[in-house]
Amino acid sequence: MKRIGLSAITIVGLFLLYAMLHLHPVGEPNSSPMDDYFILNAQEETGANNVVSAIVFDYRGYDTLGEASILFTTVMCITLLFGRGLRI
Amino acid sequence: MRPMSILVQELLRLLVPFTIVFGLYLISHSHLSPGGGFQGGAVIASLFALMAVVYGRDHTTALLQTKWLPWIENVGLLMYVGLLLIASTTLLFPRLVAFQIARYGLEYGYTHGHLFTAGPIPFLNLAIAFEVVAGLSMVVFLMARSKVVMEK
Repeated sequence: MKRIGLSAITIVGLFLLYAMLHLHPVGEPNSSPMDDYFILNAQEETGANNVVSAIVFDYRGYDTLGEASILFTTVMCITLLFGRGLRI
Repeated sequence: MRPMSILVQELLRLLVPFTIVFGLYLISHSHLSPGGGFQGGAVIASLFALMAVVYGRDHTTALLQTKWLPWIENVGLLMYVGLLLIASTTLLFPRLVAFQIARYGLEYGYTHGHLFTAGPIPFLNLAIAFEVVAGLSMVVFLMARSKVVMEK
């Protein structure tokens, strides 16, 4: 059981290291046609004035679902660690 | 945690309604001004943490009825998933009532600045706000227990 956990952590760690070595330099894609598309078309297509909210909740809504799931899982793990039964 | 002095308690009591209204403003006007569900939820959750510091942790949990907090968090995430599934079917059902109501401002000639012009975005923000408030408050209240040790 300990060996399974250790190997899993090693594999995930190596994967993250590989991903980190292949990141772009900071600020490298300076501007792309996607940015202009967002600025020009977000208000008509989504009806929202706030382009950031339109991107987070409309164009990239599934990523926000992943974010909400991560928050939920974190709170659940902390409840398991610190809670007594299910009481707060 | 032990409560702080009566002066601090009364001053916080002045601040609580305004901070909650500000948090609700950030949540509900997510598509019109800088804000959103995450930001407004963090404001209200930090207010609950401040109440836990000032009034004492046990008094605050009795006041806020924290046994409902896990349920509110679940409802928030489920509401977000449900709204996302409903919004995905909008191409199949273009006259879905809920989002037509939320967009009726556009048909009546309101320009983009009215509250009811953005479709499902305010409701998604509300669901996220439920989850953030309940989740962050739960973490604070779980970690803030204390025990009084009487020394001889």
